[in-house]
Amino acid sequence: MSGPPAELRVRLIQAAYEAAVAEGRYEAPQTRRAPSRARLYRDGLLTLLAPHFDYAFYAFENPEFADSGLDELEHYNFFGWPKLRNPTAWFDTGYYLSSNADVLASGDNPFWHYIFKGRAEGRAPRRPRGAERAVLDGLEPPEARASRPSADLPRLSADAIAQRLAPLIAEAVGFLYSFGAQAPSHVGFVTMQASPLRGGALFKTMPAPWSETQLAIDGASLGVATDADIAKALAGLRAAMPARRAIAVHGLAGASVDGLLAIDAALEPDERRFHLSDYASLCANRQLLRNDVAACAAPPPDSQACFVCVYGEARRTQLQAVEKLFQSLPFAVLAPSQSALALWRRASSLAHESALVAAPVRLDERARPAQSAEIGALGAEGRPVRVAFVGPRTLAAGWLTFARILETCGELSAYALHHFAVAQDLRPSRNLFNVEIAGSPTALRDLLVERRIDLVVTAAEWAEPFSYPAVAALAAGCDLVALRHSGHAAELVETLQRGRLFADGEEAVEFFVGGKALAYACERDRFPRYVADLRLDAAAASAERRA
Amino acid sequence: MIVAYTSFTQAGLSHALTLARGLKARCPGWRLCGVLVDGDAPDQGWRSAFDVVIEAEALYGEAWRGFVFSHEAAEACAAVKGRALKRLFAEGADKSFYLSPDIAVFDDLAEVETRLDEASILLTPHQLEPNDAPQAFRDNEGLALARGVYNLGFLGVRNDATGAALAEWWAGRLDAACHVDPAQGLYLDQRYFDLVPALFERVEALRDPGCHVAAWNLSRRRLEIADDGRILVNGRFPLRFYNFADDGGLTERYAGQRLAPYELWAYYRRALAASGAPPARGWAYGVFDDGARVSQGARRLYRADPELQARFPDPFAVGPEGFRAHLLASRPDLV
Repeated sequence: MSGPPAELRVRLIQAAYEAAVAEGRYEAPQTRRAPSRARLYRDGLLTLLAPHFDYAFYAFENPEFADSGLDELEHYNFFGWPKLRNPTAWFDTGYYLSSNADVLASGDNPFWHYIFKGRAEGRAPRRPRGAERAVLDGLEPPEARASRPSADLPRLSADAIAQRLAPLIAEAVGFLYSFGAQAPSHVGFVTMQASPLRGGALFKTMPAPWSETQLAIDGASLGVATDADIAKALAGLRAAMPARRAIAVHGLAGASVDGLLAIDAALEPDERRFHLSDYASLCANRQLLRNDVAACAAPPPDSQACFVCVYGEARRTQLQAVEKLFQSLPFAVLAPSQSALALWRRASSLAHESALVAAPVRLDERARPAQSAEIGALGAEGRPVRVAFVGPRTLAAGWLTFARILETCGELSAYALHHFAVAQDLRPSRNLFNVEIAGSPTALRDLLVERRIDLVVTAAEWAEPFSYPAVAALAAGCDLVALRHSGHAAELVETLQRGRLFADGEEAVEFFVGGKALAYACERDRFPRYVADLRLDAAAASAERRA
Repeated sequence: MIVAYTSFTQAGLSHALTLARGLKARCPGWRLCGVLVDGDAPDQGWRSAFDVVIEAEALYGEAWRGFVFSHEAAEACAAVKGRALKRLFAEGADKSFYLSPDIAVFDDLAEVETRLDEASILLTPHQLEPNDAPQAFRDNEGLALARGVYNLGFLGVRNDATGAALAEWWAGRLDAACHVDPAQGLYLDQRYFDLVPALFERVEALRDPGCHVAAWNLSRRRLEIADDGRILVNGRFPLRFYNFADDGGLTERYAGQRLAPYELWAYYRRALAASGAPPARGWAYGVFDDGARVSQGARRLYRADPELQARFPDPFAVGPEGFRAHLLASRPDLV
């Protein structure tokens, strides 16, 4: 199979899609999927309610139903709703009862009331923006959040560190002190991996003797030492150190500026790298999520946005520490994407020696045609548009947008919705296919190919510096649905023209509800699909995997 | 001299302190005055948030205890506003702004202040745009019809002949009646101001949608936090001040899918918690001198009967000759 060159192909797809939408060739899909099994109940009202009830969700959330001798819907009807259990992920029994006094007084099953009365009356099935408001209700200033030691590790003195390092560096061509990530092994280098013992969100100003850091050498855990002792050990080994010495900072959360400066002064590295794995150099919220709920683009610290943000005050302190670090150390700044670097440059004026983009994974330009055995019109019964979300069910990753797509379009036969995630992030849910992932971006790509996914929703709510799901999806021949503020995924859509961008989650949901997603997938389906290899840059990849 | 003032009880102290700190930061040249409508708190540290604190009692002299007995706490806080304004003018204020303690200031109010170069009286209407939907009309215009066109959480007055006349008239009205009494067409001090554009000259209704945003006008004021960090109303007006009065569910109804109102509320809750106000106590004028609660019925009986007022000039006092003893004998149902 062959087709037009890649660049022409994507432009033809976009043009065909836009023409199809302009001419109104695709309508909002209406056909509902036939229920997998019809359930009949003695109580006719339950029979009517059954097609709306999420049996898989209810069974997962309420495992005790299994002992009741009832099925899930009966259990909800008799025991579940009085205990404020929910019949689906999108209906909040407690909210519905508390906001509708007449339903509460009636004693009716609230889900039944909503489906057959409340919905037509315009009543809300759950608290508006409930997920975000739950976050807002529980916000605490970052400095007040507890930070705990991540493990019970042996304490190391400066001498102990020096004893462990001395024989290793004698043979080495170089030494790397890598803070904040699992650093890769450079050939001939000894790598000391460091991470803050107590975690926490903030870049701290505590002195080096108080700052505690976990150490590992070439992947083997060593123990815990103060930054002052690490500096003392490195200073003592100065004469024996190899000529090539580097320091790499992958993250600032939990670190101490004075600790890093002390270690740098002891090591006297000839190379200093600062990886833009996140935006801790711009704000105490390293995802630039104002109040943990909204993308903020790092406005001026004295802005109204920072005034109302729980991170606003901590940000001002953190920026002073960051300023001190960058003024003291001439960093080469490495960004995993152009969008991350552009954001960082726009929002900060930190001194640095150089700045460049180093993507941890790249698409190989030599793509090969994907095998296709499917025949028939995409979107019709039996051949739905396959849509996937990859990653955890978090607000930052964009789950709320996908959950709304699931809520509004899950019943439609035009779409088949998939969740690709590690096992602990998967939850059974009506109309959702769960796919467990593990391992590399290449393995994810292969799974996306195997499941014949058409569109991947990469609607991150933050300006993600690098999106592995987006790159794997593109390699699998899928196109992306992203938000303008999604960072790297948005950059990929814009530069490669492989997908569609939206101002917010609501617009993205409307893309599916109104049938434009169907139009897009169908127009795209007229052209051959290609699968690309992924080339990993080990050094950059290890920096970004952490983010 | 520009003076901003507010009136509050100890229970409202955290709100008043949040307002005062916002004003101090955004309007550093203004003089801040707090009017305390309560007994004194043991912890006096909060007073430094204000340039001056007036004890409401000082505005009334001997008449105070009889006067305050006639009011619930919210009524009393509104009732003192007129006399406080007269005091501020007498002490040399050129322009005066009343802001209710439920308000938080988010921007410089210089543009608002300069409106009083032209106008003598500056008011903020509850609504600046009509609502179409029946529910929104009921919730919003309906509220204005019942409680007054203007929200008296904000009032700007210039110290000129008109402003002085307004202060005199207002203080007189509030001395006579400042109650929640729908049958009499009263809602605290607010409904009197429906008359003000007719009774006085140079009255301006402030039409800046960034001023006095609140649950009762969210249906027509779209709040957002822009990428440049400004909080905007209807896409272009900077948010200047927001009234966080209890909204009875209106915020949820009219914020819709917008997050900004909820972010403001989250900020406000944090600000209240961090205000440093001493723990709230009961209202000093909510009880007789022996600690027994004053019922609403007892207040109403007292305020409606000039004879009782003359006979018991200090109705809080207890003893065989006190008002409480009188109630026990004549109207035990009110004790």
